[in-house]
Amino acid sequence: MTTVCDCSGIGILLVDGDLLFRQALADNLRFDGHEVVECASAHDAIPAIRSAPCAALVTEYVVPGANGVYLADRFRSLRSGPTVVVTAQVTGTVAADVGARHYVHLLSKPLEYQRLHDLLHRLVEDLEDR
Amino acid sequence: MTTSSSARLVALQAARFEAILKTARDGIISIDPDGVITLFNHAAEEIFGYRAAEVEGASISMLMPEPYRSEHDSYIRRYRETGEARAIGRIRKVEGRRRSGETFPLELSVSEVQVGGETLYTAVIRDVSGRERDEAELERLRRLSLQRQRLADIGALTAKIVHDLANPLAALSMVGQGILRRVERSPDMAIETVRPQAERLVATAVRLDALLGEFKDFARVQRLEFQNVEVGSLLQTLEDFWRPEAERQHIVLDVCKPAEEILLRADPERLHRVFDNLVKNSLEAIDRGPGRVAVHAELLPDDRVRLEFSDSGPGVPAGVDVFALFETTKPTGTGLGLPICRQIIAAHGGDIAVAGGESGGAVFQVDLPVHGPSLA
Repeated sequence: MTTVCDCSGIGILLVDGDLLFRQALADNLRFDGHEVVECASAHDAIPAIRSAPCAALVTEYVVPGANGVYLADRFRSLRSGPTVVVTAQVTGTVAADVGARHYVHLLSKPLEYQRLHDLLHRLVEDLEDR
Repeated sequence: MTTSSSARLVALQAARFEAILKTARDGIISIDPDGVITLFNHAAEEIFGYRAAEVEGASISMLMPEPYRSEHDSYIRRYRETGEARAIGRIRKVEGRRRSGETFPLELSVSEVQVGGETLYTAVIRDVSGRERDEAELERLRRLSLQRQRLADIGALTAKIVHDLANPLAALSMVGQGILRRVERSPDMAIETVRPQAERLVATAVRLDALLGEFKDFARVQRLEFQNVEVGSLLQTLEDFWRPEAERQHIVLDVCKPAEEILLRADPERLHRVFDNLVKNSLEAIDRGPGRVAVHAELLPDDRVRLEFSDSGPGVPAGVDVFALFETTKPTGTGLGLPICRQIIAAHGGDIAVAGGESGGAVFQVDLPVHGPSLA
């Protein structure tokens, strides 16, 4: 049986242009007790990065108006929380773009929710240990 | 006129005539009423491979392959008896026979003159084998180019399938995991609690199905079932189908059928798909009336039919190639509709193009050959 995440309750900014995937992932995150702010584009996400009460960013790499790494950089400039790029397009370019930033973590779609859950859990724990 | 000046004039005319015969690019052959060759110019020598001296005095039928050769005498006889001419005064495409025995296509025009009570027939002959070869080569290159375009399209399509299917699949998986996690955590929960997830599963499956349908349509080689269809009747069906939707959107649908009956060699089902797509796009572009969608058909002089679909919508944005794969101006469009239309029209031997209307909006022109695609 899946246990409730120890980091439950942290706010997550979720950016993905695909409505059905975003809703389904948000549903799972909320089921684990997270507050989730959903954005469909960079246009919506950039103000949310500034103002929404989110401690972690989960974003697609391909985002209308920008890319996930750009959003991760913006997020990183304001907060120290975990940033995870979840994408259907794991190409060499994407891997290199993400790999160049030690603070961005890459997961591929279809996403096994438990992997995201475990990754967020570990990253939050690491932050708390510092 | 003095004797010497008239002799000079005759000599001058003869010289002119000789120069024309020598320099003409077309073969010029004269025969008498019995079909005996009396004149064979330089171009005719080049075309047929005979010297003038070899053929002058012989029957013109030696330059014809069967069955024209055997039929020629009876043709001359019938013409003498009835005056019914097949070749005189018009350009005909027939076959000639070279010295080597090779047959070749030629265009032939024959004139008849009476000189001092004697009838003389003169044929101007143009060897069109080179032109036919060029046309066949052009057609081969056109087909090759279409094949290459198709291969490139299939490559782009494959990449698009991988991309577009990945997201709905990821969504399906995520919804399924959500249901499973709920069931695992609360095995006795009421089934009603997973209704939103189940609805998302169904919505995602519908989206996947629509995507696959579009891909399948595009990837399918356009095998057409040709029949004779009447343009007015095609447009009537189009109007009957779309008028209710246009009225619902407060848009005037103005379908102007051609005054005369135009029979078109086409696959009506596929053409309907194209016409439906164009009208649907126009209605969607206007969204809500007042507005106007017009369809107009006319017969062009070169045995082609032009169908014009115009609307009062916002038009096609500059720099957008609406026929390019996956190019779409609609938020939920797949970018396959108009490429499929282009494919269907090309398979009919026609063209489709878009332009801006004089007062805004978009104008799509579909040109179709009345007799169907060339079989060359």
